[in-house]
Amino acid sequence: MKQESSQKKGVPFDIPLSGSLGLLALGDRGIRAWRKVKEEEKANKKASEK
Amino acid sequence: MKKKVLLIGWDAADWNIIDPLLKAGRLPALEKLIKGGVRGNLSTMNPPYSPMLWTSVATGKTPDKHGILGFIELDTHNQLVRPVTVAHRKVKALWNIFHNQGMKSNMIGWWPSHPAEPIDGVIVSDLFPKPIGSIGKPWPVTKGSVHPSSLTKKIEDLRVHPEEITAAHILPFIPDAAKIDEKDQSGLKGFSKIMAHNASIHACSTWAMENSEWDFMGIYYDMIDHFCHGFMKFHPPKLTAVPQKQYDMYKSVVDSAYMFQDMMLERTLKLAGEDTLVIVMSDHGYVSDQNRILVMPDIHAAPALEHREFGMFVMNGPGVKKGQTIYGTTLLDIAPTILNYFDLPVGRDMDGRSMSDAFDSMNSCKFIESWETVEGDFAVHQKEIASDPLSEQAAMEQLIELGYIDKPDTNIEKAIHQTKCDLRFNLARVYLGKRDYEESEKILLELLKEDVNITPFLTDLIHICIVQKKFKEASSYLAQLRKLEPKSLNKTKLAEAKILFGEGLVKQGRQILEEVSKRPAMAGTAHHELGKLFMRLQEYDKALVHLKKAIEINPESAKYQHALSVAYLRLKQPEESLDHSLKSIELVRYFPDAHYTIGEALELMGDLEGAKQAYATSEALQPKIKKATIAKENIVHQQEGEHKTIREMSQFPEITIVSGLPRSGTSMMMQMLSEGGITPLVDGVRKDDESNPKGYFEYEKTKGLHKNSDWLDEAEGKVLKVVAQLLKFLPRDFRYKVVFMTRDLDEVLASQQTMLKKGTASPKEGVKQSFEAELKKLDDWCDKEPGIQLLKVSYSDVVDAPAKEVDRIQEFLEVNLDQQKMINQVEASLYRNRKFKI
Repeated sequence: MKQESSQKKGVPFDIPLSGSLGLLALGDRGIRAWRKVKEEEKANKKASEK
Repeated sequence: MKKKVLLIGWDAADWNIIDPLLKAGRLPALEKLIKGGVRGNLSTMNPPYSPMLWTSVATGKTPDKHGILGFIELDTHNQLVRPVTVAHRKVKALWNIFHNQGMKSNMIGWWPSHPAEPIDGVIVSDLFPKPIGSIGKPWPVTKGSVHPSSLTKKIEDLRVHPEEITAAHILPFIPDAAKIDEKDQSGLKGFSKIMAHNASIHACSTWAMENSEWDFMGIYYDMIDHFCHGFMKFHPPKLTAVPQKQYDMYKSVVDSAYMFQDMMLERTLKLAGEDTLVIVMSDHGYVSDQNRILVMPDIHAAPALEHREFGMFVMNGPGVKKGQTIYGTTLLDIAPTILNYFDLPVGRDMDGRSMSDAFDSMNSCKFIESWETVEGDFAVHQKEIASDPLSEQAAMEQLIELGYIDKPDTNIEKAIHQTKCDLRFNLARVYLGKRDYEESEKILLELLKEDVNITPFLTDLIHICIVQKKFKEASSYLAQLRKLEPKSLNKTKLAEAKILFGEGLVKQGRQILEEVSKRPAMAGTAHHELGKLFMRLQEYDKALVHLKKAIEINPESAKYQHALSVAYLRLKQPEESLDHSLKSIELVRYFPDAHYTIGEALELMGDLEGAKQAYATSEALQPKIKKATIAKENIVHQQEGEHKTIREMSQFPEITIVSGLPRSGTSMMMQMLSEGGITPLVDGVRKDDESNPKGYFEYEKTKGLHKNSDWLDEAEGKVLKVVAQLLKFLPRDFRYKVVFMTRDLDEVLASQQTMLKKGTASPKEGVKQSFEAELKKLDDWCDKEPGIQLLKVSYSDVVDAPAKEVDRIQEFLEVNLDQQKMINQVEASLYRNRKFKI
């Protein structure tokens, strides 16, 4: 899944659903971006189940 | 430009792991910092327990002063055992001082920092990320873990739960994790907890950097330490006892932990900006060689046995030198350095010093008596914040999993009692580390009365009593220890040898020494002890063998390097000696004895100026020990004292001593000097007799010189008789000119037999050898003691040619003597038991 990182400036990069060490190393922004992807995936899954 | 300091703690980070990774280009962020700054070892303290050490980093004070004494503590009502908090910290930390000075600090995850203190800035305590229950269940934020509490809502989502850790996080550490049997997966749970905790701390730190202004920021990560405790045994090179399958599975965990830590560092540095003074440091290192422990012994805080005595530090920022290594730094130096950088005074009651040598330009260091007595708002807790049992429980569980603490007894009273004893024992060990033997002994003696396992207390008491030369007590504690723990017999052999030597039972002591030295494999400490004992016997070649082995095992032990340096010095090899004493001060700068040895070596090599500087450093580091001051005076006298006697130049009063073995002519010499014009210190208690018809010229108190020398100022400017065996107990408060009487040993023994009315009966076997050994030691003692000047005077020469000998004595003592009166005291008729040579 390709998502844009929440960095104000910078190159967009992949945010895998399973997370990554890179996201953890990015700190608060990395964790929040990963959580967002997880939430979206959850919501999509829910929607497709309906 | 606004000054900012970022202090990053990497618990247990060690150059022995970092350097190979740097070489392989796998720590780019740290490499950049090192290239643009300075690096060095950071000596730790004993016992190396992290909460104590990180509090020392934050306060610049030793644990006896700051009050944090272990991983756990009792609450202030002594009713609960809980993970360590700031409640027992007795002194101000950097962030309290900065608050008082109107500066802003952010402290994230510092151990301990719970409950968060109300400073100007942000504190996220070490208990903030502790997980409770499963993911999806309520996970309230630990009360008191965030300051200001209004931030709690903004950052609570930055806590990563261990169950969120996925294969994507695990596989870079353990590539074959999928192959781990389900029953062996408890290790992975521990792994996830460590990852989640550190990711949470890091996220809070990046958030604080982006969302707050700060002057000082401290972030503490425990990841490297905790992963080392779990996985260092699998780190390459493979230990023989580690199964191949496990080795293959976990061999890259430790390296990966450092690499992940470096990834986080990269982000932190980016947020900190170029103009920040950055310090990355560890509180201790971690054993990664063949000395790794596979099965932890069943002792208090056993995992700390794997903590190496040197941590690491890197410093980079405005004014910091580039590409240099800084030597001899301790973790106590961090707080004074940061205060100095901010141009704030360093407390004189702090135990470290500012590392100004790491800077090209640095404010001159200001001092204040103590920050503790400064009035004002320091944002310390005014009342205790109630405990949060759930997160405390989680923290306790992790400490138990890591092996740092034993599971507390289910009987709360027993648990409290045990914790009290553990903390007291830790304090005793802190004093022991500071060589405050009296305080340490006091606590240990109290602990002996407690209903707990007393064997560790006995072990330390044996050591303390040996150092304090209380051999009888040491022997009694040793017997008690062996009775309680028969297995300790082998481990305590060297202590037994030391006690025997101390009691003068050289033969028995040597027997043990020889026996132990034949053991096939010994630890570095055992080789070091053996080396020191052989030095004591003046068997320097044997000492060299063991000290070299000790250094082979651990080349980074400052004390091993110093011991080897002393052995070389006594063998009159000053270049080799210098080499090793320099290595020892590269490792530990605060090492007065090593600086002194450097002085001795340089003096022997003829570099008087260098020797003077080395003695001056030794003197500055330890002013109470006067031998460096005396040695420095000796050099000044050699350099400038052509027209002055050393007596005139010295700050130390002088005492004339007459010494020798009993019946070597000491009474005659006392009488001669007395008649020559030097007042003898005598009390007439021992009356003259047929062996000494002109009197013994003795002073009763001299017999107890080894126990008490407080009275010695009575001898100032006088002449005192001291038997050869007691010379080594002369204190270093004076300078001594020793007229040492020598006499043929067969004559001495015959004279003693006559005196003891044993006629021509042979003296006890071994007496002559013992006297020979005593005299052999004399030269060594003279070499070691700068305050001693010694003139050997032969009894037979005095009898045969008194005028010549009196002349020599006058020249040596540098006083005007009535030579004729001295000569008149010599009576050849009293030279009985003379051995005539054919």
